[in-house]
Amino acid sequence: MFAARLVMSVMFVALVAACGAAAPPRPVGPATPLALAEGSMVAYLLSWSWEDAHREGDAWVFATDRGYAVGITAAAIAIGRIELVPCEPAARPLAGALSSLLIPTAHAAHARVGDGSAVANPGIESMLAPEAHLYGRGFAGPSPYCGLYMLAVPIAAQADDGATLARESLALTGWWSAPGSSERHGLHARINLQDGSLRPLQGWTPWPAALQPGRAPVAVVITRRPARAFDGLELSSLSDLDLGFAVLGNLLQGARVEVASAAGDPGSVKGP
Amino acid sequence: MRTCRLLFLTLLSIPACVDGSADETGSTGPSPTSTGGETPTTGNTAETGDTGWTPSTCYDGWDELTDRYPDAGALQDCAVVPGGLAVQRSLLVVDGLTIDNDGQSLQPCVEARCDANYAYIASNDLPHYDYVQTTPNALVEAPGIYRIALAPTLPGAAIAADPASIQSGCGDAYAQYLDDPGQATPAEPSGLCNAAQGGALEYLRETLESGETPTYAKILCLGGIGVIVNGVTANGPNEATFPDPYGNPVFGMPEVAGDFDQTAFLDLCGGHSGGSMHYHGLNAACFEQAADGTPATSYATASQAWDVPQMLTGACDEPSAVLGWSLDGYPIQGPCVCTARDGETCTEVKRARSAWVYDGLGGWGADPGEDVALAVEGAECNDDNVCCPGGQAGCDFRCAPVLVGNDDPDGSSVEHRCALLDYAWCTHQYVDRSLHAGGDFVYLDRCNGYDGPDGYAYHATASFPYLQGCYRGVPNLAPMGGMMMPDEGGMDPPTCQPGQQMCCGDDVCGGPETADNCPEDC
Repeated sequence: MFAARLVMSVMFVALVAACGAAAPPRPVGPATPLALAEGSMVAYLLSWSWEDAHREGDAWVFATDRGYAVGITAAAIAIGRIELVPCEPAARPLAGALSSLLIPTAHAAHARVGDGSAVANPGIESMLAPEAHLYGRGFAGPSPYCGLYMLAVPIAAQADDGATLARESLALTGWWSAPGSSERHGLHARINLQDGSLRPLQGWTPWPAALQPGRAPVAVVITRRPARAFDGLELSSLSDLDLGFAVLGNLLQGARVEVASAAGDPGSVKGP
Repeated sequence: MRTCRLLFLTLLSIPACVDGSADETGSTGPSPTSTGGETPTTGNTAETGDTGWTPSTCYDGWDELTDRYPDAGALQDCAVVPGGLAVQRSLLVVDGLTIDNDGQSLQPCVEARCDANYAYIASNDLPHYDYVQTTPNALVEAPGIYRIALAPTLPGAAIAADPASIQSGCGDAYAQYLDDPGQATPAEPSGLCNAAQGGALEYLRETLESGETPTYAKILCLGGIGVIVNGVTANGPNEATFPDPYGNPVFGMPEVAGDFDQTAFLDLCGGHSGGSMHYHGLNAACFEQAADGTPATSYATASQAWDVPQMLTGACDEPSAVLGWSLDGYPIQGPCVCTARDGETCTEVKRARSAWVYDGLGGWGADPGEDVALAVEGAECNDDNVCCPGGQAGCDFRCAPVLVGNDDPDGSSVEHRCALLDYAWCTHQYVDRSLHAGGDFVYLDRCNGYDGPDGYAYHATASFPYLQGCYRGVPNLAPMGGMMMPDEGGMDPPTCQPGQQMCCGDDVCGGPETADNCPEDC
């Protein structure tokens, strides 16, 4: 399996190299490891999926796995940094793992200098915005990529629809009802802390209509699912801060990260 | 209730054998010995003043202890070993706790067992709260056992030691920064920390204004210096070579929760993962314990106490709890120090202040190029725009609250200055405060420790060196983390036999120092 993936990757790299950085790579084989011509551009597209939710007036309404009903009327998040993360080298023995304590071996940014694919463009996103939006474009490095890291950060900003972050990384307004109850309680979850997540590249996806290929022949589409970000949480027992932090973490961890190529029809060659 | 418990812990952490005579350092503080003045109280709420405390029993590898420490004695409940309860009771109870690691569930573990001379703290190096992934680096389990001497020993006065004033290589750091700020010097340049991974212990010695001539062991430049009460490793005050050469891990942090900085790669408890989890500084609120020893607050709540100016100058109303243990056996406590005691009552509590001041890299040379490269260094500022007119990206400075020396009676003050992210050691200078009475605060020694009525302890500060600048005692370097393998470490003469260690700092093997084997010192 690994050999097959390696062959695919080599083919992919060869194809990219043959076509030159300006030509879009043809999506052959699985999306991971994602090998791109070094220096080629990659675009990051942020989107929301309200799957498992429905509209009720001005709210998106959904049920959690624990039976709570939740309505979201305003919500915003700020992503401060996105970057692709090279595939891990082969597993090291324990001794090697321990020696890594001596000299940090961050496979991407231990701090602000990271992979060339890194983009730091802190800005507010309304979760209720229907359109996906371009976060930024980075440059591919020499190593194949297996994951994407994104970091939510606190900022002060207002979104076009009026959702605001007051030195916060996430703010949610709405209501919730306990299982079996119709009584609505106010929802004011918010958090002013950083949190990040490293997500695997999960496969190919069709090129998003919201994005012009431009100079970036490859796009990474990051889809967050707010209706699933409340799963596992006992809403009645969490403070606004704890709820905000938990939802932020779940939003990041629940994100689906897929790769789109401007060339070909990725749907026909979707990876496993 | 918490006050009582913290006081109890503080008292427990006092090395029980108080040395009334001058020791190797000339200090009149507690000597590194225990008299066993505590009562075994495991789980006894009447005696601990707590309700429901049961120490963790999560580690199942004790049978392998002698593989790591061949001279380890028979293990027993720390509560029945003099000095052991203080270590055991300080640890967070994490049994049954599950944390989230980017979608993966993990179970932190920290547990202490003791033999007659040491507390052994076993952990898997996981925090007690959900992992805050500030970088792509994953959180990984790193099982290991720390050995904490129940009776710390001091380095002998005869041991070869560098003068504490060395910092000789900082001129190289200065030149390197002007030549290529992104390229690090070949090794940590100050000489104040031990860059020789796996090498022998190195020492520093200085004569203070008080007349004392203490000898300190250097901490590793890169590696563990102790263990925090949640079982995670404590590290020194610098990062590695990249991206900020031997850089300061705290200057890029937000000043208060809610601030944003692209360089904020610690969580707001003071830790991060660079291969495995470790702390460079401590927000004491993160480690508060409920009566049963479990974590009292969530990460989200505790992080709201991250307020660097407040952490530097805020008033103290009670002594801080033990937050960790240094590898030399002394506790690492929070920033509030009992400076006077009447029996069991602490009558005066002050904030600990580091004796290190920010002095910048520019003092290590006089190159004309400095006018450009280091132009803003040390400048007064109110935000990063002053220090980084072109934005944070690629800028090596941050507007940070730092301690600066001055001629005021206090001798130092907290001011916002453009502080260099690189070369944490070379940008700071230790100022001998051994004769300074302090003000609303009390100055710490070079190692960031204080020798007061509760004995000697290191104190977590919000300014350099954050946790420790050196070891007052002789560290037990262990085969985990950044600590050395037993056969790689070692002390200067004498060469002790297996099962022995240098005692009393007087070049006698067979320690640790107790009232029995070192009566002249106890």
